[in-house]
Amino acid sequence: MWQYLGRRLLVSLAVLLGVSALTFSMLHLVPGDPVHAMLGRQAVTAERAEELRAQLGLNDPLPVQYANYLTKALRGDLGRSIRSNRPVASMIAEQLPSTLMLAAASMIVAIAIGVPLGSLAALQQNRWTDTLIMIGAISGVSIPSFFLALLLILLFSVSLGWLPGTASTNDLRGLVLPALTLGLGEAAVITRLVRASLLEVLHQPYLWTARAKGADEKRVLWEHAFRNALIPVVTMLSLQLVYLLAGSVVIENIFARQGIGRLAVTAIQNRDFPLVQGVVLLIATTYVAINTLTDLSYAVLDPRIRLK
Amino acid sequence: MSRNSVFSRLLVIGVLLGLVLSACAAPTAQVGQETASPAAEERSLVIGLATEPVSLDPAAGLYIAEQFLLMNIYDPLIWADQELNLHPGLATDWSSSEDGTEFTLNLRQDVVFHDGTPFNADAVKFAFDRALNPTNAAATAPTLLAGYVETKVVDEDTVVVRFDIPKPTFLEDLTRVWLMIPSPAAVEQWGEDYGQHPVGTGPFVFQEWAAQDHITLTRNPNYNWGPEFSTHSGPARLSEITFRFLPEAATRLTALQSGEAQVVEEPAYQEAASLAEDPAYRLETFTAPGMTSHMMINVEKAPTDDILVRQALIYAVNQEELVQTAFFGMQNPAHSVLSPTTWSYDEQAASLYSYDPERAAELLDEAGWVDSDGDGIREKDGQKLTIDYPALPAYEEAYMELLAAYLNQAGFEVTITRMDDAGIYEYSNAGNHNIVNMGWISRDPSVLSIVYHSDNIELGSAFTRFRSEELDSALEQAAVSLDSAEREELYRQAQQIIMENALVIPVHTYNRVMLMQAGVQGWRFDAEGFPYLYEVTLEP
Repeated sequence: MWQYLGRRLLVSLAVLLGVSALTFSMLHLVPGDPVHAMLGRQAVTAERAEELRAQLGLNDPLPVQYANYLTKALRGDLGRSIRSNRPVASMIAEQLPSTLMLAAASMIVAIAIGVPLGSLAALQQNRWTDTLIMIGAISGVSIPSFFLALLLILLFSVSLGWLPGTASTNDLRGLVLPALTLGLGEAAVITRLVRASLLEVLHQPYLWTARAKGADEKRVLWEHAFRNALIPVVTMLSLQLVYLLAGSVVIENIFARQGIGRLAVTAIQNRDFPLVQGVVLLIATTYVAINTLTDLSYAVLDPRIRLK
Repeated sequence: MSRNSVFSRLLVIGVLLGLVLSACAAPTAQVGQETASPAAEERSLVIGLATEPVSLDPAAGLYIAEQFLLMNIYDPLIWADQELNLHPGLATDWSSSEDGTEFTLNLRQDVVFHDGTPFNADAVKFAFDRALNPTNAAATAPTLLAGYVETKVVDEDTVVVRFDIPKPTFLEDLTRVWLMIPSPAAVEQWGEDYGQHPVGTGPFVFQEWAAQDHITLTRNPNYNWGPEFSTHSGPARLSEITFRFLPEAATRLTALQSGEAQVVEEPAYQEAASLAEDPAYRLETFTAPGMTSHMMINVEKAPTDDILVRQALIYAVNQEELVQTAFFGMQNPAHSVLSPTTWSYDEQAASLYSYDPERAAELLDEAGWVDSDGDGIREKDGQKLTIDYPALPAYEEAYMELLAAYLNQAGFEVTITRMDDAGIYEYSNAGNHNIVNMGWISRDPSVLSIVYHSDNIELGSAFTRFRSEELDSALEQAAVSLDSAEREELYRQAQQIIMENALVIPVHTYNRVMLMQAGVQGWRFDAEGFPYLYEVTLEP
């Protein structure tokens, strides 16, 4: 167990180092002069370009630049945005709570709907309940989130006037529609996954053994079937969480919410490299952290992994 | 089996509970509808903006999103009305030396910044000295202050601003947001972060900025120095303004419909056009002065090195139809390099071409381009009549295919390559294009020099690559002439040279489009089309 844990952590560290090297080199991989790439079509004198180059430390040798970047990043200093001249770390810190709130809320919606519906469909396999749930799930997967978002805004915000379509982050009512939009799509995926996974487990011989040993049905389902059926679901959920962190930009735009995804897209559009680097580093770190935690959670869920 | 169905029932209950819980999260209060309508003086306005400003430091500003907010937080030394007549601002009167290099400004004595710092000659000197070295490498202020030598503080209420070149447009430049005056105390307090904590003398006081969410301004209760052309004096009518950043056009429209915002900029045009017919809403539009959105034609690359081909390009495009299809009539058709609202706009240059496909065909025949194989594309010496068009989807998505279709009808084969800003610059600067989009909102036609003076071919944005001593000298003289009649004549000449040599395909003007609830009254655009909110009221 400890060996497994240690190995996972080492691998994660190596990945993070690789990611930092990649985000660092991003500025240098862009074709042409980084300063001109950043400024785009704006007319800028050679003098100003040189100032900017010095400000970014672009005149130092590459290894020195990377070492500086790494030591600064470790101290939480991600540089300043080219465009607004604000510290990247505080720009990210401002946006993070909103993203985390949205991710958590839509996760709750997804699990609250997906797990029970998927289980129900599996237990009622091939009956009308199952068919109905699967039709719902396929529709949920198929409706693009931006379309669902607009439908929800038109219904709950414009027609009924119950909920704001664009609310400030500190207004909790504004969380409902974006969380539903993302959560419903996720719920559909989870429903299908739970159903498939549970069906597979339900036909495993060890359940018959459990029943033969006199375990009651509730125990068979909760302790034997569910636990194993949930492993792929947990993997899926952790991947979805990372996706929600960075990939909810469409939803953040439509509902005009604060968020990391929107920050990243604006930064890319503006060629604000320090900001892009900071956001990518954050997303990659979170990705690695969540993956490591997921792997560790297998050890709790599945004794076979623990024993290896 | 029976145990199984008990479990199923439990699950059904769980599912229902989940749904009920998520529905409960919805409170029953109506959104955006006030329970009791507050007194007129206590009303607040929510404006949905498409783009978030980067910095509210006038000296760091460059982009359009800033102007809207800056002009409501700060005051200029001199006001310009919509017709660009000058009126006293923070300066009560002014004079300039005969050679146009020295400007004496007498300042108001009763003005204080939002933080209590008194406004005086030192604040003006501090602002100009500082604007020369902005935190943002691409800020506009240093361009306006080109040739700046110093600001002399004569006494508490008088400054003399000196340049080493004649500055015919300096007084007019003082009306622009980039030269508005910040509080020196606040600049010193916040240092590099001043742009996020602006302090001016204007009708509204900055309160709060939540990035990617909103900026809030409140009324300046001490304000008593509004422009003389406004309909009232004293503090602003609205008690608070919230600017929400709503990047999606569809969302801006629904926010207006649900009452979450009372004004939105750049709504989705098609829906806005139909919503504007509803008496509950009103459209306010303003055609910005400066350059129109036009295609610069490269005179060095074949086939557009031939003036007949360039003329044919212009005759082939039906701008009237194009703006209807692409912008639902929310933008106006353009027929010249400058917009009709620009000072010195030349009607004669604008009337040289109008949509005439037959004339386009004649010109191409005359130039030797004929469609010999019947595929609709003209050829000459085995070469197809191909136009290279690098396009930036962010600006040109609405009409680029349409434009290509018009050219195609005339027998051109148009190759559209989608690129980003930097890509287009590199491509066009190297002269690889035949046509490329350009446009520049400005109070003065002097921006023509930036893209039409041949000095800017190699390093700048003079993408027509047109070299003419006549054009260069007209632009040079106009930039330094102190005689406004002479300047006007020179800019008219420049427009004529540009159009006679068929250097541009005009496409559309830049109209500022704001959609608002009918209760929003007292709307006023400034000379560049930015709303000045001092007089705005909100009727229930």
